[in-house]
Amino acid sequence: MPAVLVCLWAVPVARATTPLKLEQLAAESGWIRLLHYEPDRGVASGWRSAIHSPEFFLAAGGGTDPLAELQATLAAMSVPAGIDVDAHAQCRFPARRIWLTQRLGGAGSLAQITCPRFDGFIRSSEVESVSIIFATGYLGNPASYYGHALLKFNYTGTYSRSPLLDVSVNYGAILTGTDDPLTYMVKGVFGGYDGGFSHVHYYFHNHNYGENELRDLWEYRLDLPPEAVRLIVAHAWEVLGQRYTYYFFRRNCAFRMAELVQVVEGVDITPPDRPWTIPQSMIQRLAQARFADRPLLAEVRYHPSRQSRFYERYRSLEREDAHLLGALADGTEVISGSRFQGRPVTSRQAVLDGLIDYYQFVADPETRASGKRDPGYARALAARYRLPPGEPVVAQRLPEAPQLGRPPSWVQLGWMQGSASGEAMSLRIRPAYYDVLDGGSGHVPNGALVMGDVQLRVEEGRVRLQQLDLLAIESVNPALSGLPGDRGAAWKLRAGVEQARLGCRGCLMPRLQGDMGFGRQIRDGLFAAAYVGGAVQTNRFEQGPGFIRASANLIFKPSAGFAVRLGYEHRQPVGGAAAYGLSQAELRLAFGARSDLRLAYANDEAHLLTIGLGHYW
Amino acid sequence: MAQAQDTPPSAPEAKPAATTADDRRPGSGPNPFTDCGIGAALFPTVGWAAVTSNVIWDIGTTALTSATASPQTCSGKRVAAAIFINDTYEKLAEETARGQGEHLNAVLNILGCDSARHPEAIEAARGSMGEAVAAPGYATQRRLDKAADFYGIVESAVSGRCAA
Repeated sequence: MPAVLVCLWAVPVARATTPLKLEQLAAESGWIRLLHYEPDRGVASGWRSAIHSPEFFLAAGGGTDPLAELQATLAAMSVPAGIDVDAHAQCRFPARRIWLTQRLGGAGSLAQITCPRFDGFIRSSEVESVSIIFATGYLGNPASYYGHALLKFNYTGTYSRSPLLDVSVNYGAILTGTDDPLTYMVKGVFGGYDGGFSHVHYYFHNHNYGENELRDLWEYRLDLPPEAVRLIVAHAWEVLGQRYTYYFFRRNCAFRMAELVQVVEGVDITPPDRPWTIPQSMIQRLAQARFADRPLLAEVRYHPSRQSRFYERYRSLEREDAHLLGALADGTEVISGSRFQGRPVTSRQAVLDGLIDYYQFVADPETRASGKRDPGYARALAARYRLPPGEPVVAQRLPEAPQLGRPPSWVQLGWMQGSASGEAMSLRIRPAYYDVLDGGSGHVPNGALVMGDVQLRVEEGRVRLQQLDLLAIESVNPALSGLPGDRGAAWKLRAGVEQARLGCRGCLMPRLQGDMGFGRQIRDGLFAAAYVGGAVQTNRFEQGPGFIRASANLIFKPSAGFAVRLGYEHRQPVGGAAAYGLSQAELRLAFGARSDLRLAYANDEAHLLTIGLGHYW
Repeated sequence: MAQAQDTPPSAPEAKPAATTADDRRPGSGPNPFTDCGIGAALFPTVGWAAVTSNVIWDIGTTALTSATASPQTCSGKRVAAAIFINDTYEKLAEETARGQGEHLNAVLNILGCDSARHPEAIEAARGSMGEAVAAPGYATQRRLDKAADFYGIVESAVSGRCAA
């Protein structure tokens, strides 16, 4: 055994009298967290690291042996640096070095080695603070339905040139090929991809989310002392490029990002006891967390997307200017015309700024990425250059912050009464995430994203399945301007099992439903949409193999705690059954952030009434 | 202290970027878009999922490493500015039109322009950009070419006006 290990086998902790054995040190939570060990009954130590890159370990069996890895780390930290200084253990694992120095005190003193690449990464320790960035959900990509979280290092001093140039650290699946969307989802859910941390200037993500995907960003700056910030940054360096196994539901971006921060003893922001980790839940837990007897959250900042900025500019325009913007957008007016040129300079600036935002907002994602633009965009931009510099002030309204929203999971206990099915108790469990009535900040307004929504019917001591929505999505746009390209394209998708008709008891059938349509926010709190679509289903209960339909919805939300949805659809079954109409109404009344009362009524010749008390968790 | 990195900091397995051109005065160096082959290397073709949010894996960073390996004059803050411009061109063009904005400040800072000199540099860049966007063919010009032009404009605006 090398001499260094002999002398470190029983070492005193600084200012402590009890010798600390390496076995104890290797079992400490700090070491377990630094190596990302997770419980595993299949190995002798009971631990297996979540990282499976061999280069992350200094001992041959370090991935499953915390003690061996600790011994190897202590040995490697103590050897003199070679020609390639950056390859030294102190340079590769600076957070381990910090932690060992803290735990071992003077006995663990290590010769200070200068690490050029790590110093470049931390820019000479000028990271002043750490922020967690939350990107709101995006229905354009299944991997982004629930939002995303990434870490941002906020620099100060010489290199604090702009927050845009701060470094962001991002966890995601590592794609190795061009998997089709279905394969992509399956592999993402079941661990078919490696996952890992990457880093890039923050402006890259800021631009991608805000400009290309039109997602609002929320920045949460943490109140951590300098030594904690140093440990997080050093640990981020250690795990960059290392490979984990990516799981969409639990061990995802939010989970791994929280782990990076939780390397600091006493920080706990991972939502516990769930088979999934929703980024917004992590943010909500962060907002409640305390560290060193102070709130962990120091500051919240909102970064609106291009869409949000356009809507705020549009709302802030004077009536004549809003009409003018519309006329310029649809081509009934031109910039050189007297109507535009006759407006005051500030009005022309405001109209052109709104027009520029409009063209960027309505461009499809591929066009945005390619840089091709509507000729109108170039004309508006050129005209803006001909005006004096300056920017009319737009008061950006703050939406409800995601950390203040309700928890994502919901359970409801209720009572139902059907004209054909009689009375029964109802139990409904929805693990995630929101529907058109309870969507809030970080969600698509008036949209829905439901997974695993189960409704059980309890009567005469028996429990029966009433309905199961494996997945239900309603993607809508508010179409606030109503201008070309902003006319509220909407779609719905729903897959699950439900009763064939309201009047049919025990008539469960698998059904896949889809609709396309248009929606429009008529005024604040009032949204309407119309769709055409249909369904395919098992050919049972004289309902044929499917139906086509036309439908319309009206959603009324006068306040955050009260919402009503009215809907009607006309269904024409395929295969000869008679057409019928389905009317639906649902009312939701919220009690605080964690409870609600709902009343739902549906009628398709038979009727079903449900009333229930819900709890969010 | 290690040398400052204007490019995204290197990951443990990435090659360190050289910075030998940083001593040149702004405006006297190569345009990384046209002289360093960056235009072709910056954005590799990626699949539909790779361009979306949380599945990004160092897009740009890896390409940057290979693009900046040679020649040595094509690295440091010029490359950092070029990448920033290429990534955020539309915001830069719009902010320049308004004469202010955080992206505009950021690119001037990358190029070493003292903040007290920003108004002067922005005024110069605004004049040149006004001519560029008004030129026939701007709307159909490739984005990469627009970004390269903007790089030239902003570096010229910085040259002689800013303390590096």
